[in-house]
Amino acid sequence: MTAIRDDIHTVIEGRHDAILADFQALLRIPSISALPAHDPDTLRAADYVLGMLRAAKLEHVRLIETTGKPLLYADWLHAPGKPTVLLYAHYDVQPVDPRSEWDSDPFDPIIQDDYIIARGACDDKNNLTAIIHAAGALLAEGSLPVNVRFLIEGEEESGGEVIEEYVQSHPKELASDIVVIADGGIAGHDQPQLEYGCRGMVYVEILARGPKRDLHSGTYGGNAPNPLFALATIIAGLKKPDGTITIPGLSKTVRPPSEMEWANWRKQIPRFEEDMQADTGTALIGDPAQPPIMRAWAQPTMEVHGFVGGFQDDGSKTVIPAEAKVKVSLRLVPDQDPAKMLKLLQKRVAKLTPPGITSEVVNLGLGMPFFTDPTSPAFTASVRALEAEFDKEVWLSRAGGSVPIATTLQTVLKADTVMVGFGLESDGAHSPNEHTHLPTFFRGVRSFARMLRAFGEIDGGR
Amino acid sequence: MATKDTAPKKGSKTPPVAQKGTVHEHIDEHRKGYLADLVRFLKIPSISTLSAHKGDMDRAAAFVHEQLVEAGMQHVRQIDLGGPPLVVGEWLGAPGKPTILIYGHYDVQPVDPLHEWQTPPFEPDIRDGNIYARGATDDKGQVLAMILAVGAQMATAGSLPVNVRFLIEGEEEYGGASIERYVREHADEIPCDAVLIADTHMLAPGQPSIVYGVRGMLYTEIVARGAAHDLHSGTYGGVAPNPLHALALIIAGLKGADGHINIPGLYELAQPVTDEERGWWARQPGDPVARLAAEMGVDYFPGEQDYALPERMAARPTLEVHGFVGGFQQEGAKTVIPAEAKVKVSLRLVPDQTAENVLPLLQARVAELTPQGVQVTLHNIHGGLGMVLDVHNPYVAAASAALAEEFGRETVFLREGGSIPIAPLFASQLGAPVVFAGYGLADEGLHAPNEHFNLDNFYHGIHGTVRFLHHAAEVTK
Repeated sequence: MTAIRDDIHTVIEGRHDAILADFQALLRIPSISALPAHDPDTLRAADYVLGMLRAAKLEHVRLIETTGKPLLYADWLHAPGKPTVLLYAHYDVQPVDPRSEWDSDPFDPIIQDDYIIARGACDDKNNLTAIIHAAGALLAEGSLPVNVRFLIEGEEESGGEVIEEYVQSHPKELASDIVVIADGGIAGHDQPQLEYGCRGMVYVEILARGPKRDLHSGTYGGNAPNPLFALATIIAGLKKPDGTITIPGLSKTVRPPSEMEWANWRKQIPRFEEDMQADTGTALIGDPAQPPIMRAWAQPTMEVHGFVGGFQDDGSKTVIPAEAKVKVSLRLVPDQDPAKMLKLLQKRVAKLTPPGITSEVVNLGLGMPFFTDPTSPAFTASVRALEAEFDKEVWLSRAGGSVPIATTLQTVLKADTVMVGFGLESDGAHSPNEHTHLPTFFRGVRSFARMLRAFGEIDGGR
Repeated sequence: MATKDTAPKKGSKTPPVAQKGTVHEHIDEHRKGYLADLVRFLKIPSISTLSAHKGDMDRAAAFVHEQLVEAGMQHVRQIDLGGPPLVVGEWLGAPGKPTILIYGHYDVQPVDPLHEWQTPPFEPDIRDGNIYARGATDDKGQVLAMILAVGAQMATAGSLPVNVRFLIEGEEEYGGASIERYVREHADEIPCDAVLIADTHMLAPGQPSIVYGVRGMLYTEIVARGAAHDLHSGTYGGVAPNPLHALALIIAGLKGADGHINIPGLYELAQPVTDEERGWWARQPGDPVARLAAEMGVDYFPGEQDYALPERMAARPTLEVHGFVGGFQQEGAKTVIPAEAKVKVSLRLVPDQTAENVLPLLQARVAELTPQGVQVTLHNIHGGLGMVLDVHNPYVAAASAALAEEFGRETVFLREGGSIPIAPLFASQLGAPVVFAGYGLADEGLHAPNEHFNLDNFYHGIHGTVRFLHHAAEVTK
């Protein structure tokens, strides 16, 4: 495989100044969706992106009013017989606190060596800029190799409900064959990566009730059903010290990764474990029967997030609370069905509930795992595009977390879905001094252009 | 020497009627004023565990100070021990007679969960013959009754049949470290023949009860640390250590579903219960199971099924978990794996178990239960000694007679499940028997929302304390 220095390079390089100017202009707008004080800024960012879409000569450019931050839409549908590709990114950013830990103004992007430093630099204004300019550059040459739709949201960092609702209710308007979620990451500056799956979720609150009122542990200790103790025994009964989850039936529907996936993952193990250890600052723990990469990507987890009830202030209070709660989540992998897994969890909790305690498992949210076949035409086209750009075998990855919009777009549009992006884990998304490597950013622009071209080589469309 | 005002027959159910001109008539005539004093006392939110209430602690101390002065006590003063002041006063005008040290506390527990209170905790409300407020039964109602009793006796007779010293502290609910230090360092300045404590409860309404044993306590915080910082459970769930899960495993490992505490060596340190005690418990009036079920609002008592309920309630060690700190506790769903979490755990101990000899056992067991990837430290928040008193001493007999007289019913002997660490300290430092003559009821919401005190028992407490002083005066020194 040889690196291709081709027309894509020429076309994009000729536009570097304009691309960087748009990227910097976007970074200057503090579009923090979580803070109402910044609502005017998110609107300004939306407006700026609309201008970029128009400048790219995309059509039907419009702002979609919602109950939250507006969605942005544009398309170009003049490639009959070719697939339609929906490109997703977001224009909002995370808050900047702790502000004191920033070495420069988070909304005054500065360039140091090859890096640009600002909030949103790697999440997600880099990818947003890249997809628009990739399409714009190709379109400037005449036409696009595929049909495209852009769907850009403004509250990914603060909920993301409005885009979910919009996609659910507009499947025809958004009809596409391929979805590109331009909000992923890259493994290294010269190590391309594509994500084709992420875990689903069951989030519950387990409520335990004991005595009719709070009791004093001196008078009643030892004889009162203590809801906090009951919850501790339930949690201990759901997952063993070695990390093995003990919910009968839970693993029955877990689909193991294919030979092809596993062969690719094996190459990623040293990097994965090194990153995980650096991020957590500790040794990795969990079910010893599975290597960490398998546990994080292809196995369900059970985690406890917080206990509510009793006494939590400083000092000592000897109370046995009448009621207590614990927040617990499961991460799910294909082919685990969240509703069915919830039932298994409920059954197990009922069985683990000690006498004298009544328990209830309250569902706070279910999410389907997302998975696109990495051997599908859309995916292999993406692999070819990135290999051409990087001259390196692409890492095929799954994400341990949940990306609800990927699941929604995939299920509603029934489209092969690829997650891709050009920020590194170490670029500080959500942290102070967020930055992006500019050469990698421009590689991103070229990569998106190459992906559109590769999708155009796939036979058929709708 | 004072004479008994009334002498009901043993076992009589008829409460005594105060005779004219006696201290008891005086008490009955002053009920309204006593109640007003109690209301004023209960309005002060003297929560010693919360630093925001420091000013209220001073106000409560000033109230106690004023009451002691009004009761005719001498040398009333507030001693600064670093925290809420210790309020002391004395009357030593009965040479040759025993000296009774009267102890109580003016601080109260926190009020959370506030929303479960039917009326605000510091706006005393009287309904169904009870006064509702934080501190009503623990211990403001009871300590005030003792002060008022001494005051009534002084007001009617101009003197007391015995010498008294008051020691009223303000950090009982917080650990009581200061008064412990004070008693250790100043034992020779507060000599006494007996200690009277009204901070316990009666077995049932109308049933005079003397508590001869209290459990000790070891209150700890177990801190678990996992990753260097909080993590997202999606990316790291399944590979990162979770301190909350580690704590759940530790708690589940410390006590079995059968109520047995799995700390090797713990039970071996406990004094065996005597046959005499088991006899008292077996003969206790009423149905303890039904009574407890009603008080607690439960239909099942977990715990060691091989032991009778009264024994489990006061003569066996316990382990309870009081709260987990860390992670996400608000409404909704946040998928955090906290870097650090804590759990508050206490053990109630029976002599000869002490915080000192149990802590290393607990530490060893927690270390054994700690899963891979998590570092755990155990903090001793506070400890208190337990006590089992020799009931065959004359001051317990005096209290028993006084209570029997006041309630018209034979006094029963109990062990209390709770901890009153100051009592064992008094016993050891002052060499004096500690008499627990309490007027609270077990279902009065001690440490819980809607705490209250039965007003009849408030007045019984005043009368009963006067009776005790007279009976104690008959004890030959």
